[in-house]
Amino acid sequence: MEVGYYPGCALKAHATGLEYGTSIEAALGALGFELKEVPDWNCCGASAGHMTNTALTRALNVRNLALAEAAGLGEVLAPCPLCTKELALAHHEVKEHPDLLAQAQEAAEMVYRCTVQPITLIELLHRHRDLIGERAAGKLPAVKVACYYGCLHTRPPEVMTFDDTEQPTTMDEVCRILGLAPVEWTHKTECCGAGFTMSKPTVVARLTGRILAAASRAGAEAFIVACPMCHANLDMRQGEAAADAGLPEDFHMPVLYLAQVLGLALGLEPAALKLDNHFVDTTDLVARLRGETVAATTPEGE
Amino acid sequence: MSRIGVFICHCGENIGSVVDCPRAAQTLATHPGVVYSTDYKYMCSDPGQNLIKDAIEKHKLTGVVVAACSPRMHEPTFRNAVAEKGLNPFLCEMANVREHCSWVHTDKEEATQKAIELIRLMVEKVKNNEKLQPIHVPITKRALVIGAGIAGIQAALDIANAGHEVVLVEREASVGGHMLQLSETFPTLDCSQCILTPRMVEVARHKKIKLYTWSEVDAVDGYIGNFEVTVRMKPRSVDLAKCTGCGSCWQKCPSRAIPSEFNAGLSVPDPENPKKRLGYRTAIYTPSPQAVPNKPVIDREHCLHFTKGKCGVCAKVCPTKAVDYEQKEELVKEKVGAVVVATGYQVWSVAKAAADYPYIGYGEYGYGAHPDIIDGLQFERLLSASGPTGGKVRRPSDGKEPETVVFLSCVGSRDNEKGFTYCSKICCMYLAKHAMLYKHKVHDGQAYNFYMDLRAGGKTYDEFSRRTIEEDDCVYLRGRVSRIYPRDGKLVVQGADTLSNAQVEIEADLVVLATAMIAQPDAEALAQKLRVAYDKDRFFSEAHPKLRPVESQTAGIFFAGACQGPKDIPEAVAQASGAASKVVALLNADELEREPVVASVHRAPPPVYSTCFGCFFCERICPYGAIEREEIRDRKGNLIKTVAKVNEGLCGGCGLCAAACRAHAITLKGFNDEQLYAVVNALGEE
Repeated sequence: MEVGYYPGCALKAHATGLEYGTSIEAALGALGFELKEVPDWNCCGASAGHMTNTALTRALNVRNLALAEAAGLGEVLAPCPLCTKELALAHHEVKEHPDLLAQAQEAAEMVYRCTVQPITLIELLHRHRDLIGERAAGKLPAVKVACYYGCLHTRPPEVMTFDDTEQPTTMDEVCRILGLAPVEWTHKTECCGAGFTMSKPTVVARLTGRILAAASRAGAEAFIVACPMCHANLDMRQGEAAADAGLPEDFHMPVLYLAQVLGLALGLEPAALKLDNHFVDTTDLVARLRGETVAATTPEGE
Repeated sequence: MSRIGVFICHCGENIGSVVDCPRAAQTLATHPGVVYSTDYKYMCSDPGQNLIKDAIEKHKLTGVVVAACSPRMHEPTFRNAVAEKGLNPFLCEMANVREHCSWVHTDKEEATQKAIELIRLMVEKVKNNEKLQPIHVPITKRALVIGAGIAGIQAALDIANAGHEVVLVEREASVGGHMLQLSETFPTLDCSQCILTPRMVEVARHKKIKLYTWSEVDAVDGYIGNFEVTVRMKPRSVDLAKCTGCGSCWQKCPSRAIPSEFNAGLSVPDPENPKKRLGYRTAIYTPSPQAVPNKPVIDREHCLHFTKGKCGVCAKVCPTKAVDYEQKEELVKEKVGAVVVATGYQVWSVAKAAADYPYIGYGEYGYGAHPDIIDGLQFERLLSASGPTGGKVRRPSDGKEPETVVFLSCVGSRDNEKGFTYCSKICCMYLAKHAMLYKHKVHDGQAYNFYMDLRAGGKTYDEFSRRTIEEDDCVYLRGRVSRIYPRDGKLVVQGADTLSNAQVEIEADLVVLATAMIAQPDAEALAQKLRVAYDKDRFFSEAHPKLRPVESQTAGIFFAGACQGPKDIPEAVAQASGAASKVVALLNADELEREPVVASVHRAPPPVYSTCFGCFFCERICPYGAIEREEIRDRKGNLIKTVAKVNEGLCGGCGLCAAACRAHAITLKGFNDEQLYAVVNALGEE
């Protein structure tokens, strides 16, 4: 199966979401997908672009879409939801408004016929859940996980339509097929603070802290995410966030990408999924997920 | 030879400022057949009408053209005026030079030319007009009222007290509607049930009212004065004639944990026995203690006899042998002259999704996911003496008295993105009442109310909501709530206070959502049965928003209460009395005069009989069901042919049949081919 692939800045090279990109390429490859990267893709205009110049952001994305179209790609997987949102929003706007299309085409110096559909990883996997079921049903133990969608997967609601805006369930469904035990919880789509992680880390600590507390109240042992920004805040800022929320000092909740658990269920090695690249230690969790018995360790023993 | 008079109205500035009326009058004066032509500032005024009347006498006019506004506005005025002078009213026509000309054009020269042309066309039409006589239709002096909530009850009583028979149809097992579920009413804190139940009893006892409960209106055929209604009596499984309402059956019924519609699905733990919950009903049940008729019905979806083929306890214990499991649905026909639609509203259940209920939203509020997040109607049940707790405020989750209650306005109302664009009108007031009653019952409790705007328009309404704030210390926070979630046995309400520009987090024990007041889910289906219009939110559309607020566009059908739009009790009652007075005025006449603009099928003496050859294409396209079949027989009774015939009472005069008839056998009176050809031929003539 061929699917277009727009990795965006976050998934490549030395970026924040390198583990996400690596694990997607590995897991989807193992599942039988052939990822066709959009040739010569450019930035989606995220954060900096869309806040300052919407026409520029639209043109950037129309160029990406036009490149995908020219390469014969009908659907383009954009695993970072900010990319998906920017691409889908541009597609949605120019499809409805010929004047915006003309403006964007002129800026991009390309023609776009509005035939490309950008999709998220959750949507792609949910749509192919039968295939996942055939290949990996119940391969993982029933570890209690909190599926955290973040703010972007279902917003804006008129563009991101694959799931319910406030109480999405598609990622939970995919995880359940793999054998995991997703918990019912309250903060699936609450904001993690996103880009404030650079400018106002205290805000991020407060918002992310609430999410940690909510997942912990629901009894979750790990987070499953599908957004590099969410991952960064939950993983990298976990210490400050847990402190802000008044959680115990030894609070520790591994944050895994959806593609990483899919890869494990398909029998891939943790290193191939870059599971060793996270701030919050995943060793014990990965061992459990792989069905290995974990040696009982006590703090005193260390 | 025609002697036509032309009367051009300035309509003050409306026409006169764009169309050169004196010039148009001069031009028309020279048109063949026109013997008198003039203009005047207000033709609809008394002097204006006298101008027409005098001219008819003085110039012996055989036809009149009034060039003014739309015929929808003043055609009856001018036709009555010419009729006073003995001229057949259908020899008077209007040329619309306002809506069709002056209001939509700015170029004076071109507008004047167009006005002259419009008037000329009508002159040519009038030359070919025939004298038509009004059609007289007998009136069935009975009315149907659909829905027996407070609006339907009021309308039925008013009509019956004026001396006319009423057929009152209610789909629930008891009359009373939503008002019976309410605790106390704003702004006077009258007990809702205490003021309603006397009316319920009266409606059931009234000699002129025939009450059908547990029944629905299946079809409404016919037309004003002569409707035929099919009432579907759903099987109640209890013989109303034999049942005495003793209650033995439901006391013994083994299915005891069914959510009660009357309690809006709410149930609360029993303080005596924590394993038991209060507020449920049995499978054989009377909807409420004050039900009218106070006789039970079997819910066949939950009854063990119907679901499992077991049980039969109620039949065994019934002392009068009234339980009848074999009872079948029954269709009854009723003839009425007028219909009042009073089908009411529903409270939006934001958490409920079903095939016939496509509205779902506000997942962030957790309604349906947490028992202590309830809607406004459920809180009414908590406050009500006939509710699950006997009027004590208790949490549905654990039965504890809530120390903090948060109320949320506008859940679905005024929310274009997630709900409906309109204001539900009653919520600001009932939330003020809720907070006040809560404080009266839980003295050291604290109420919070998140609102968008406080709308308290109504007699003593604002004073009432001020009391809630000033005397009962309810904290009003202007802003929206973004999320509600459980934490350590409390509900965290996360919102914004936009007046102090702060984020607010309240730990509540109970949250009440004032969800939108919405049209009945089957409102569209009923509107189609009745052939009445409805708006984008499925509320029924009145004929005119200001001047005809209780009438539908369909003659003889009237609206009362919230089926036409969100309303509180006094408004619903006022509208019901208004609708009733319209019905009484209609039924007081012995017969109805109808405009003779109807279709007719060609008839001729033998051997032609009719040019209709009986294809009945007209029957298929007639939107009014007015085409009948007539058999033409010779003297010996042999069938010669079957031809179409128009029922003049049903015909709406739309002309579809005349346009569609392949044999040109159908004519629309007042718009026959000669008249229309004359109009078309006059186009472009100088």
